[in-house]
Amino acid sequence: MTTMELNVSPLGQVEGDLDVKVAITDGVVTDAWTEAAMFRGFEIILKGKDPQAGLIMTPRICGICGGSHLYKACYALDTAWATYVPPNATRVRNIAQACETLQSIPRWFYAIMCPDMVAAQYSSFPLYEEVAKRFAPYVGTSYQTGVTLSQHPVEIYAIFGGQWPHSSFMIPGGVMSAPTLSDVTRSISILENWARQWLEGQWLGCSVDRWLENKTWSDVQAWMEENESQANSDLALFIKWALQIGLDKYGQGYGNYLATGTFLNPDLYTNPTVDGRNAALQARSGIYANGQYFDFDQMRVTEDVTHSFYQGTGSRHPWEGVTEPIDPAEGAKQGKYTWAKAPRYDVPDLGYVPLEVGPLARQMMAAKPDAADFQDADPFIRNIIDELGPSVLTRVLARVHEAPKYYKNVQNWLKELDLHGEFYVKPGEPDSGKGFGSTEAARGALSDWIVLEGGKIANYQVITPTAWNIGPRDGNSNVGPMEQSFVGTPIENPDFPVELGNVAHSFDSCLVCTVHAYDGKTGKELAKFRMGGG
Amino acid sequence: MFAGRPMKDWIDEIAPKAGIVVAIGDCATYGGLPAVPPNPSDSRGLQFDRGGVKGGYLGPDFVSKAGLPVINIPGCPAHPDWISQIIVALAAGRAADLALDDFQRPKTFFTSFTQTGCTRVQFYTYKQDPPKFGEGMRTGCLFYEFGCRGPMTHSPCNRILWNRQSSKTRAGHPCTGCTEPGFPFGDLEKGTVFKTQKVAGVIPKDEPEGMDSGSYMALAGLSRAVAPKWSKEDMFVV
Repeated sequence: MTTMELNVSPLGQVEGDLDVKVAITDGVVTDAWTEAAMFRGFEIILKGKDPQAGLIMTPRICGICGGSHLYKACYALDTAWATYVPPNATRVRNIAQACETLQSIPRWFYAIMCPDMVAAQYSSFPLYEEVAKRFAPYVGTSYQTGVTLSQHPVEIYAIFGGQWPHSSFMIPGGVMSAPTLSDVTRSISILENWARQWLEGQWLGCSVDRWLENKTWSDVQAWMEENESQANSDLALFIKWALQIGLDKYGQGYGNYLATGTFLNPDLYTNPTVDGRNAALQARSGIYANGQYFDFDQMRVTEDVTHSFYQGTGSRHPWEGVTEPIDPAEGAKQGKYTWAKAPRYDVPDLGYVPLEVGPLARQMMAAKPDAADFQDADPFIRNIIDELGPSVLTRVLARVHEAPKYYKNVQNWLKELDLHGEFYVKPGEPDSGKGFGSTEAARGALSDWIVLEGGKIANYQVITPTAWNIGPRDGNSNVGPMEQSFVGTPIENPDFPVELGNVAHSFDSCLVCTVHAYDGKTGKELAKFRMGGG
Repeated sequence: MFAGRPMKDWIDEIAPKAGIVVAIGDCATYGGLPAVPPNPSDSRGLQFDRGGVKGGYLGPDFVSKAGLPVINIPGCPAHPDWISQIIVALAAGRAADLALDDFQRPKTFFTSFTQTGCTRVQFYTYKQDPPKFGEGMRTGCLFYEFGCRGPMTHSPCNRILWNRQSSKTRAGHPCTGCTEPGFPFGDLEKGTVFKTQKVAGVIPKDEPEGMDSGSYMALAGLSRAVAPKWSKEDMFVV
């Protein structure tokens, strides 16, 4: 038996803030430690500030999920201040949130997911030549158009929000803008043009409606062979390639999921409350653990700091959360190894467990029973999980399946906008209150908890999807979801462990998304590997 | 941190060897949002600190091998065109054309104001503000009530549009002054977000650049008195 430790840095391609240490035994990963490597202290800065400071501050936590940060920060205030939000404002917020994710999906696929999939290590596989021709970073024919065209959905965001990223145009009680006819017609033109060129033209090779007819894994297999256009699409090529290089064989993770849901129904959430949120979500929230569905309850969320560079051990609900950083060198002596806290959820009868967030979790909730008429009910990805199990492939399929779904959503909200209606109703600004706002960023559940006292922020806690996924061990020694998903991954060449990149990228962890991250120097280095065309 | 080393170690090693050093965005330029009090991460800009004090991590006297101080492209975020155009200018050997202002920002982008090209400028002229947000896109100037810093912020946001479509102020969003070293102004303290800071409840605390409160009030009084009927009505209508 040969055991070796491997340090991989940096693993996140968007920013260089995620380091991973894995132990390999006989060519298979047996243990993993994810280390978030940067600390910025936004929660500390927000303490004592203006209640609306989060609208300016939190979108800047992340350069690619800024609109999602704004969406949930605004609902945290809407619930704390008990605002009235006109249906049109909710539609505009939803359009913006969905367009940000539509931008993210192709940009992530080509720029983040592809580079390690086209590594030279795979050159002996039959489809390699075609895959490299299309997907190679910068020079691939599909890479270029896919990345370039991904700028268009956020043009719609800019029409309503002024700019993307880093707008703060969603405010308690509505949105700042009141669109004109040409704002809507321009948005429609941009959306349809992008859908024809990339989503249908290059990615699916068929209409969005044809793709959405697929309900099972066997439907997908039939779809791939249905005609030349579909067989030659980027999506079909990816699926064939993933099966060839074994992306369906690893990256499983726990198979337990959490989604906080998103897209509030414009008519059912005019008076946002924490308790009324689940019933008003178009993309539903929920928990799936050990084979059972549960309703999401934010009161069951905690953050554990036992292995994080913060004072103390144990866990707290975010309304009672504290952020007291300590010197990482001191922390290391106490077994701490990352700036990310470990978010956990108290599942009935199961206790505090780590849960995976992201598209796989969202699409599991889409298959949850008892959907209301307006809610998304879609058994497709659940079927693929049942057939193939969770894996890198399944996680990718769940994410890209959202592009056609969100495109249809944006179409509908644009259609429903009443240009002569209200877009803002000025709220009262009570001095004290508690709020919870949440959404689904492209990468997963993203939530703010706010406590107001004396007209100021008394406490502000953000839990990012990246914290859920790349968070460390907790006080019960449960490893984090991404740590777990590395376990069992076969590593063919320890000097070039592309498999780890494929697992990490399937989560699309965007480390700049973590509020607290730092590069811990740990373990002895047997090899160093730069992910992404290395 | 990057690849196991603190970012400052990378800067220590690379900056002395670099022909030209460019700071992109507020964090690199002035320390940015992480530097807002209490600045828990001790963030600073490359050659300026928050508030516009020259110094920063590299110190006030730093010059790169090409003999230039750090070239700052501020903004949160910096616009991709500002970044790419400056880099193209440098790569094309036009460094000599790059005049820098007091904060070492390229004058070609940061001399005009955010207000330059704002579609609301006629409402500014006649001192008309929108009654509330959400109608901000239909009429009025955001300077008087909603804390817009367009008249005293240097940026080309309304000359080079965002995502080729719009700008904050065009969408009814007050300019927050993110290309200036004071951003976010008032340190996000209570009452400073999206609200114009005033003296004696009427006079804006920060006047348009180059005006004193006497001349500002005289001009405002005259403008309001002569404001035509259309300036009190919606302009950006359905």
